[in-house]
Amino acid sequence: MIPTFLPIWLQNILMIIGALVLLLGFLKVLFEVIPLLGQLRTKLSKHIANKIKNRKLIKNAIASDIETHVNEVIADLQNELPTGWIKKAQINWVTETNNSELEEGELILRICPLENQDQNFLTAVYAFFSRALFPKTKEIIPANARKATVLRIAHRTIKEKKPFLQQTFEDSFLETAVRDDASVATYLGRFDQLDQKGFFTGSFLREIHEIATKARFQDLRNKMDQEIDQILTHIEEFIVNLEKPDDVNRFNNQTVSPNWWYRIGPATSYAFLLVARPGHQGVEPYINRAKERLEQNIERLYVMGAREQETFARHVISEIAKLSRYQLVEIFNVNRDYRGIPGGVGALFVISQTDKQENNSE
Amino acid sequence: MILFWHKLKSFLAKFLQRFKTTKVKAVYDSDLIGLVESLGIKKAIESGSYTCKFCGTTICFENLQAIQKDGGELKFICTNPECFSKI
Repeated sequence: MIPTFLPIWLQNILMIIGALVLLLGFLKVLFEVIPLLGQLRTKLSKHIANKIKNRKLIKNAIASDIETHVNEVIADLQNELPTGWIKKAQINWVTETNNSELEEGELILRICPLENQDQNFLTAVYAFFSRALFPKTKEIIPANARKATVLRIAHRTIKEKKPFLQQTFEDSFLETAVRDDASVATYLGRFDQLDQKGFFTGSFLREIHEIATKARFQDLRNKMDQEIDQILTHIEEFIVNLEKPDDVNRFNNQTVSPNWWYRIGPATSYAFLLVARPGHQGVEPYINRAKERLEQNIERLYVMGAREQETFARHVISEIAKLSRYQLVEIFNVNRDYRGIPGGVGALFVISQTDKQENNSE
Repeated sequence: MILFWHKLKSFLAKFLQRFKTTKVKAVYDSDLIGLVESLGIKKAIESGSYTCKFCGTTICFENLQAIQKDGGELKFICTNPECFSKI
């Protein structure tokens, strides 16, 4: 509300300022929400910065450029990694600080002028993933497994979205990490095998994050590397069984031994349900399999849908969601489906808490 | 219906997620001296008292790539890409 006792010309100026603030606020929200407009803003700010050579404008242009590129790279991961892991990257310029303002493990990166933007970008991507992955469980996951995870995800996204930087990333980041710690190379190879079938981000990362959350104040925390190894081994052997040639009637004939479909560990139990072939008795066999897992008291059920039958897989997910004892936690995308075809869908169900308590009391 | 509500919920969660950010702290090249001054370590860097936490190279203004708080203390990482990838 503009005070009426002010002269008309001042009221007009205040009105114009108000309108401008509203317009700029609206544009800011628009740039935040629509990535394409963000790219436009970056190009515009780089162009202006190059023309005017103002230090503040140059800094804004660099930050905007890095943010746009990092956000472009991570956009698809938002639907693939657990909900809440991947948020937009924001460069927070620091000009002065003190020791107490920094969090433990926090980094301040030195960013160079625009000419070194490729290196700036790679450094920022690596720092971003190091910070974003495994929120709140970083200290519990062994450093080599965490590092290999960061490298695997950063490498894959750079390879897909910025292929011209792949070689630089491999030469500087991957090569060094592997040379420095041989176990990182072992993890990278094993993660790759899982990633080719959608089980790396789909189930493995979700599982170890869950275990780390539960193991926080338990003895299991000291055995996280063993637990990670056992989950990896289980999924690897599951994949090997899947790839056996006699998989034509896998679902009914159970070419994969029944024991490989689930794992009961010290902190969690999980099972896989692979969905394809809509023509074969519809959703019923899948619902029955989910009910079997409930009877076994399997806490976490991963439903993985083949890319070619994604619509059917979503239908199965919606039908399983009707089972009162399994709670749908999230539906996510996978990099590749369990047949190795790019795309596909997955869902995670967990046994409802009330159900778990009842079983425990029994 | 359950899937519809779940979709709506996850759509809203993802939409709100767009406004949340992971902040990456950075210092622009020309602001570096001011930053180390505020941390009270300018003289120590000038006298070569700090080394890279990974390779042991003496840290100076030319080869400082990142500052990290590690075990309550400030640690430094040099511009050698090999060292940064060890973070």
